[in-house]
Amino acid sequence: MKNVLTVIKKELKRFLTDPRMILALVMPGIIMMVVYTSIGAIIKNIEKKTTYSVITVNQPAIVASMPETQSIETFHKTIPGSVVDIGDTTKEYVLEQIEKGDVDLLVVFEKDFWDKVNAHDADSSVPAPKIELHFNSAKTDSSKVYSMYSMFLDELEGAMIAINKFDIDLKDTAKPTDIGIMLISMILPGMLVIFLSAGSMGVVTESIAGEKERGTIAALLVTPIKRSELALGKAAALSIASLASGFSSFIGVIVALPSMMAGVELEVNMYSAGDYFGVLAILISTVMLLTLLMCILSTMAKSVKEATSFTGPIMLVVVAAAFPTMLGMVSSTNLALTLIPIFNSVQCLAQILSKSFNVGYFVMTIVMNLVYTGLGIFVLGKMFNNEKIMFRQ
Amino acid sequence: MVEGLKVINLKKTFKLSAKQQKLEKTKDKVRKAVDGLSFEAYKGEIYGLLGPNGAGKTTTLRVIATLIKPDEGDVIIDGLSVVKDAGKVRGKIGFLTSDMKLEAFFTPNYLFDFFASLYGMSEDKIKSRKEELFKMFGIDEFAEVKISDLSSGMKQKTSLAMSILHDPDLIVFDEPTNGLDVTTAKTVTDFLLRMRDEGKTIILSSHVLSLIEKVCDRVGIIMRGKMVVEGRVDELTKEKDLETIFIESAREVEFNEKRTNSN
Repeated sequence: MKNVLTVIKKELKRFLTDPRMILALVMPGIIMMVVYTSIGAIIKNIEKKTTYSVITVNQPAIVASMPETQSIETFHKTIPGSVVDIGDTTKEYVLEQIEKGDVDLLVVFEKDFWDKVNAHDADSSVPAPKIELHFNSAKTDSSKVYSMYSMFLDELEGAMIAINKFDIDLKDTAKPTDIGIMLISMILPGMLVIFLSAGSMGVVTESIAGEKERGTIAALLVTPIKRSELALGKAAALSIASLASGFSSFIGVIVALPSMMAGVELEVNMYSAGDYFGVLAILISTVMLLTLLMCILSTMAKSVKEATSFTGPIMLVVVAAAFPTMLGMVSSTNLALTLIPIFNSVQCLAQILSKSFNVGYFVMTIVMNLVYTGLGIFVLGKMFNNEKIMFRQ
Repeated sequence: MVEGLKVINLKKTFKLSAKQQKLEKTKDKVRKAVDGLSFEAYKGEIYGLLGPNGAGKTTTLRVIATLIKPDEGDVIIDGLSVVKDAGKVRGKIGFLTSDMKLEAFFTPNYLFDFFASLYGMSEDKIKSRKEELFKMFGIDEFAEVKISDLSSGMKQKTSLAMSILHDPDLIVFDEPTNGLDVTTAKTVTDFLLRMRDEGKTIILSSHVLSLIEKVCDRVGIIMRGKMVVEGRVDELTKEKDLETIFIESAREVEFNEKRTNSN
């Protein structure tokens, strides 16, 4: 055990002595923060839009029987920009303006719109009044305001059928933070495991394959330390470094989260201390497993370049394992799924973060991760004893 | 004379990949790196191992250092087998080859402590041994400088100190003066002679024949994995110098090989 600790200390010192490794540990977090904050800012900027110019012809008058929320007048007030009615005049000039992009939308109502609506009967031959919408699909603003307007008209048409028949009174029971919990449980589990893999990949390939490439591993192999102790020491130190790298990415995302999810209410106390402990336990067991997997592949390689190409496909596996939770697919009952490494961790994280914690699933996930890690240490020890692997030319 | 090391009928083959077969222009799927090699080295003796590139010197040294296992045969060091007692053997040998490097991110001081603790040395022992070796090789001046910032000579001095920090009975050096300036090379040769006088067994492999002639007591020339010439340096060089013996041996091996192939 003393030898294992000596190797761990040396490996960790190496990470803290080499500026490239420090950069590899910290950079993912900084990059994540910058990228996600930028994405959030861009989305916010897009959503901000400008103002629209809408022209109406024969805009119907306000109808007293219509709820205010469904009136054309009220809707017009929600459109950023100007809505001007030009009465029953020629529309040709306005159409030219739309083509040029000076006007975004022209809405032409039939004269005496409401009278014709009331007169219309599906069973009789009295036709329904028409509304013409003129827009320019080649212009983004014109398309956007057209979509807004046509959606409103669809809703209005639905409301006309139901008018005076019944009232709809929507009551959303979700707390403001519930939406945040739902979004976090979809996004964070996959992201966390992907970050851990990326962090692990960076440090592991450099450490084991790098030592083989630089010829420093032989100096360790001629010492009396057991190869299994050497493997364990390296794997443990690399797990700590990978966790630090993953944690740096995690912090980056957390810092950028409010910007990314602008408008969604997020609070630190949405989760209990137990939830945070559960997440941490899963992350630690997962990083150990991921690191061991990377260590095995890195040991097989003779150079950092080769190790990077060996470990690359693991990222694809991790992304595939993370995908279902990103679509909101969380299974908390099927314990057999805990046998699938990586997938079990992502699912378990999603359960904790979505407040559907399952003790059995959690325990099984931790146990399975530890079992796989133990197997990995055994295999790695055997590999360190194999001259064909350690001195592959 | 007390035996320090005994190499017994050592055999080692390596599988050749298709790429290697093409490179070496051979259809053989395996290459005999060492083919029934036997020799002994005694305590208080420097044994020189000579041979052209690919003769099997490095493979032999790696087997002695327990880095690789022989296919057949054994190496006995102080009664311990490199096959059966590899862990114990590692505590008794000091091994240094030109392709063994020290991690660039650390200082000689840190690396000494690190390797010494892997050899299970006590703190007091580490301290006294460090003082002794750092003084011997003049490492004190750059003990706190990172390996990456050291000159080749400084690196080699550090490597030498690391390889013998546990005071091994057997010292195995492969090209220890490779790429060193005259002054540093002299430090190395002085060190080898000192270790011999202290009763250590030293196996030295080098292409520098003048170094072998200068410091070795006995020499073995291996070609194609077999011992072709072996004897005391002073006796072998009575009539011819080592270079002539080496070239004549190489020609003889080549001639015999061609004759065997044509038959």
